[in-house]
Amino acid sequence: MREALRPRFWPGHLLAVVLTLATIVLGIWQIGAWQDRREAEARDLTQTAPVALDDVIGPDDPFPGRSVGQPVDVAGTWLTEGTLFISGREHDGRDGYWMLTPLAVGGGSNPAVPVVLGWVADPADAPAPPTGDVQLVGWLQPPDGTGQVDDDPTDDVLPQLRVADVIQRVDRDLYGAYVVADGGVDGLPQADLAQLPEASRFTAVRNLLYGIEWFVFGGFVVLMWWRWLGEQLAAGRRRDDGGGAGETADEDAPDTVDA
Amino acid sequence: MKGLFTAYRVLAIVVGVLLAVCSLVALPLKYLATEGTSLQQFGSDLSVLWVVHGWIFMIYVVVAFFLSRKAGWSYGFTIVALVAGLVPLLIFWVERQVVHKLKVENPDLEPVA
Repeated sequence: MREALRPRFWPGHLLAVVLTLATIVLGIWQIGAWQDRREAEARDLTQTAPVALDDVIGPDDPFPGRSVGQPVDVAGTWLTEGTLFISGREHDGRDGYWMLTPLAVGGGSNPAVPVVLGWVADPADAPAPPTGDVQLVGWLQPPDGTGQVDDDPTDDVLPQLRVADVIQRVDRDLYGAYVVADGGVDGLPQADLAQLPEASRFTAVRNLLYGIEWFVFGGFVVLMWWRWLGEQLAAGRRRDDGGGAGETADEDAPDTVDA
Repeated sequence: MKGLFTAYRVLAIVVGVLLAVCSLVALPLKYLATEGTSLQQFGSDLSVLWVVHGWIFMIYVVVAFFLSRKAGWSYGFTIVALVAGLVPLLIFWVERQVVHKLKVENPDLEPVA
């Protein structure tokens, strides 16, 4: 072991360390690029032009998986009496509530879609629920399904946004989705999207593959270094064996140096 | 040794061809052809081969390294042989050098075409 620490091997050791570190940094950089590009693609859908709600989902349709976070344009009449609060919603790191009012799409007795108006710290501070007709843009979201139990079914606070719970408050059909109003309604801060669209499995897969490759190269650098050191030590031993006996005398058994 | 030698030659040619296609065909088409043309799209699609090149190059590097140790090449030549997989067309020259070197030193490898 002491043999391997001789100054004449230092440049080799240094080179191995530098190269290994370089491959690790490059690998981390590629993996980071992979994650960033996936997030960027996930956000992209939420930045597209809004489409009419009924082009994405009908009142009786299951949630279209590819439209998570799709901006939608929806017009109708507020069902003020159906206003609810959903607990356990964070905004800027603070725990609070979403304020939600169902909207009869197209007015009249049409089916309604729950609209998240925005975030409030406490339902007591919430503004009066909206009334009348409205046209708004928001992001389409699939309903929650965490199976959390509403511990007090008599109040207007729900632990999760489930269509089956909201439907108790309005006397009509509901869409199997909800809309997070863009920019918030009535001055409320906009609720943060609970679910972002998923990036395709192959998005930026090249960066992932390059990242893995760099780590493999890192391993290869270590392997090269190991072989190089082994050869150098073996060559050194041969020299020592062939050289004067006095030179080997002060080494403790050089042939036990494991290469 | 012979298996390693054959594997080296096959990998060298595959890496060389992939690198030549990527850097001399895909790259210019992707960046120099007019945006939106089918030629540009072709160059862009062909760029997937960079990933294939990367992974085969990885195997090439390991095989070349073990061959270099078996054949006792100098570290200078070993590094040229490894880096050759990253410089377009260089690997074809290196492959010829390797074949020449090994055949001179090991006449028993001769019947490789």
